[in-house]
Amino acid sequence: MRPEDIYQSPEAAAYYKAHPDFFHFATPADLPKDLIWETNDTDTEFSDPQAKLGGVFNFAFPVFPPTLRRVGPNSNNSFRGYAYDAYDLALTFPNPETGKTIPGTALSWAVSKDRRTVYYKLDPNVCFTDGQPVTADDYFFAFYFFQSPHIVAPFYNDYYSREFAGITKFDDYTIAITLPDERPDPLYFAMMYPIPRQFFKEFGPDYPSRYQYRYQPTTGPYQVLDGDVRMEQSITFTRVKNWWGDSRRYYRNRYNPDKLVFRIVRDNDKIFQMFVLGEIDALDIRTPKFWYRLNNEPVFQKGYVEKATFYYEKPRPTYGIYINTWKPFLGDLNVRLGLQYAMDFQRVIDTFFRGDYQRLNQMFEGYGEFTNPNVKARPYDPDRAMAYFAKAGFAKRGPDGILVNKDGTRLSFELTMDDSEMRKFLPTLVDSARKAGLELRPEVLQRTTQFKKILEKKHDLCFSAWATVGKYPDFWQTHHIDNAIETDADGTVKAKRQTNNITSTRDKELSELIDRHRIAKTEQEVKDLGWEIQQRIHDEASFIPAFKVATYRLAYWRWLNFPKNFGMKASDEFIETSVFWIDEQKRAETQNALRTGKTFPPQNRVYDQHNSEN
Amino acid sequence: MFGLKLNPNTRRKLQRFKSIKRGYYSFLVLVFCVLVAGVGPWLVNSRALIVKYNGEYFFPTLGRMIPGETFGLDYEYETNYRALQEHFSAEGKGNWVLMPPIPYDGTEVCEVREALVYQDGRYLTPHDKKPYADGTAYLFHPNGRTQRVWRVLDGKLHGMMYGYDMHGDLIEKARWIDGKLDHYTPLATGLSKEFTEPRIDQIQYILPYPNQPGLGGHILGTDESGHDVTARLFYGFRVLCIASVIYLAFTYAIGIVVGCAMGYFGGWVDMVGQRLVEIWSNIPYLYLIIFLSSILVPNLFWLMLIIVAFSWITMTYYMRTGTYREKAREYISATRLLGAGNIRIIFRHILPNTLSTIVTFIPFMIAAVVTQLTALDFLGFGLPPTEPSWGEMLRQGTENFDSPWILSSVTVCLVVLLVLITFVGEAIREAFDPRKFTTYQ
Repeated sequence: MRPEDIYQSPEAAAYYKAHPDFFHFATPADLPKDLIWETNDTDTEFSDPQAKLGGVFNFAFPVFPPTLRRVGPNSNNSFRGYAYDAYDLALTFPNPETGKTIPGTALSWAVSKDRRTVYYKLDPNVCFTDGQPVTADDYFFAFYFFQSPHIVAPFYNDYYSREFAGITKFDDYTIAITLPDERPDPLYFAMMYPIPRQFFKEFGPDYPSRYQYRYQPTTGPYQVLDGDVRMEQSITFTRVKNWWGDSRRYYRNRYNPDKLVFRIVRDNDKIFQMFVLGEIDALDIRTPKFWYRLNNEPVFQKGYVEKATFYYEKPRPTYGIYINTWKPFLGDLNVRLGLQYAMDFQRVIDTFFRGDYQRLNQMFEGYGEFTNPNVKARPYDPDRAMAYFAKAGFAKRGPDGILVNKDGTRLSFELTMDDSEMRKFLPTLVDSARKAGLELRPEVLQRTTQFKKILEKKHDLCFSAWATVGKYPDFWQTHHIDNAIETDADGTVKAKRQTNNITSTRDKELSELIDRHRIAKTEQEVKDLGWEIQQRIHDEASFIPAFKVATYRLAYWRWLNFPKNFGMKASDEFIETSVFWIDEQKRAETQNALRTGKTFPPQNRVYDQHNSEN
Repeated sequence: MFGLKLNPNTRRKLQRFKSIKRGYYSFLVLVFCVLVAGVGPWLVNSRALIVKYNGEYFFPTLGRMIPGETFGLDYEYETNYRALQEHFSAEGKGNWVLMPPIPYDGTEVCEVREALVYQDGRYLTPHDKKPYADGTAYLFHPNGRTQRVWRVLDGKLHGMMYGYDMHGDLIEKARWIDGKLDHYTPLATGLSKEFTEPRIDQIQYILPYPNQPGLGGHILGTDESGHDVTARLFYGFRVLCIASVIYLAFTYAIGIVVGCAMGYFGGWVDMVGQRLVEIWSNIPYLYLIIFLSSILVPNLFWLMLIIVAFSWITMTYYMRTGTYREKAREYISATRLLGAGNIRIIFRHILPNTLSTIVTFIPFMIAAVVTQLTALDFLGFGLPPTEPSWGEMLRQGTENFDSPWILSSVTVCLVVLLVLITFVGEAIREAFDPRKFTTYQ
């Protein structure tokens, strides 16, 4: 198919015309002459050249996705990671192993002198999974698509209008993307996915319903064929024949199975049983319970099923206790420091999580060099806790062992938690706090109720977590004074509600640092300011870090093969990088062994080359 | 009852109740259980009954918390009496500790530690002598804090080791590969560069909750949060007793007052009262409780009041009809002629004669409140999770079928309790039934 034969949407064309300041059409002659083009074709490859294509990979998923659309209502569900994010390829990528930019659908790129514009030369071989070649117009269409109200996704509308300043077409395979201002790493911010304009021929106000269960073609290796979406039962992905990435560095020897079958099984116990019976090939085990239960299963003991633990390094959910500094006594730094030493999260990790998790050191961990390694969580130590409480005036123990101050006020705070599985370690925290003379009054609320209470800033202490994404830590939402206080018409200052600054941190100097961090222009500046901010936040002591899951753990039948490093540093999901392959010969051998009773040595491997605590 | 002299009729009913053996003995067993629950802190407690230390006697279950310092220990928080007991007997200086029969508290988190066995280069778990497959192993400071932590894989030390001082600060790191030390990094001054091997018999592992019965002295094992199941059951029963008392007191007070008033005064009081009761009874009560308790997180008293707010209605129906019937009798008219006021008539004459209704309902009301409270806790809308509760235990049990001791113990207790209450209820109903020769099947 020639580029000019591909469908062009008249609505999109009209939209480009109406916004000439965003959509620019130029000629190859307009391309600046002094650009330095980069290709980075010498970076680490992470797949295994021995990988074989083929086979069917069976996997279980606990819920049927409410939609197969990539954007729009309900699209932000947990299946989208498997359906799109794992396979769709953008212009460039950070290498999950080294962090350096590697080519994606672009073969080479160049950053302008003012660091606001990135130029890309596209790979003409790249096709969508439905066979449509990817050209510059698909990137134009992507902006039209994401800025359109038809997708009913205000976040995308806002993001793709505000975070980008324009796109330029030089020819069918040369484009440039311009950012609104100078960024420390323009390549990261200009990362863009093409949208298949031919598939969206019928794009209009009825997009959410019309495309509800239609799989949008991607630049990746898998597509969903007609009839492969079995409602409430399974979704099957089929590999594209002669995928363009098979000959490209960084993409060859990956995405090996011919078919990926996601079976919908609602109960975790049942998924476990299906795995043991060999009905699914692999099991991503996040709960310690199932991980250790497998040790007693004959399939593991006889070596038919293998286990692997992989340490990864990426931003993690910030589990911990958020102290509302707006509340009485909690505004006192000494009380907060006392609280830091009075919560025995290590004991929670050792007992409730069987020593499998690690202590989180601070809120902004896992950002690589942007995380200050000198900031360490304060250990549990009742002696130091009591010393700080004494400084705050709570020096004497009452008859029940709880500290009291001069006025007879007891050192007692409410600890709000949601009703998830985690509520079960609350007694350990209460127990450990009592030793330090602190009373915790647990309050367990449903998640939405808890969240409402926290955002209204009505809690004393709350156990919660923020999901974290991005390349750099974002301090503004959680620690800037703008999100901490507001002033009423009559001049009274009060806690600002409905913001993510749930510790009500309102330090002016810290806020200035955060403002400078937000407009930092080089990575060095981002790092230096970030480290300083993290240290200050640590000194403020309004967040008690709890734990992090440093690993992902996989159990799989032995016919699944992995490269020698197993996974990638920055990936917490084995399907995301898809470097495994299925060995049919080994499958036959194993199935034969199951019949004859032949055994293999049990395999339980640990890959801790990326353990940040090494 | 109600400070009134029982009339012969009532006395006869009680006699009849006594003669129904199944119900009567159930009643005695229940009373015994409630009495036992009443002296709970001396039977099930992590505090010692008596401590003899340096010639002085202490009674920790009475009065205020006694810090460890008092007994020459190095901490000022509450004494760990079980540890003290071991400490004293090891010392052999004539000091002793007398613990209650079940030395655990309902809110206490207990962990069971066992020493790993070292054999042929591998660490084995003591009970089955199999290599410790994968997990964490510990060495503890004398004060109970963690000193060193290893990862173990297939019985061999493998992965990072971390060492902490008495205050919990990280002071050393080492890396082990396949049972061999790869490198050692001291992080604090004063530590020798040479790594000192731990004494092999000191490496312990922590048995994950829930622990099966018998381990670590827990007769019925521990639950998912590390609570002793026996202590949980016991204190859960106490909670149910207290709940029943609050529930009965309030439902009866409201039910009797409103029911009597409607029945005795009749007319528009009855008319308006009945309509209000009808409206109130049409509120979907379970949803309301769930809604209220999800935003309020009530303690026991408030939770009971919420339940009471919707359960007094049934009582009013019976009291209303009972009062109507008695009021129409001639002796009431006679009393009135003699000049008795409303108050006197209601309390001296009508109430004693409706007693059978009131008494008959007590056991069934108790059974109802036990199931309601348990159901709410089971659904997670009841008491805070640290409070001992049978409903919470049932929930844990159903989430952990592979730890059957949780579910089985609480189910047995619940069934036995409800059966006993029902037996008593049947007996009372039969005893108070005016038709003497009917049998209740």
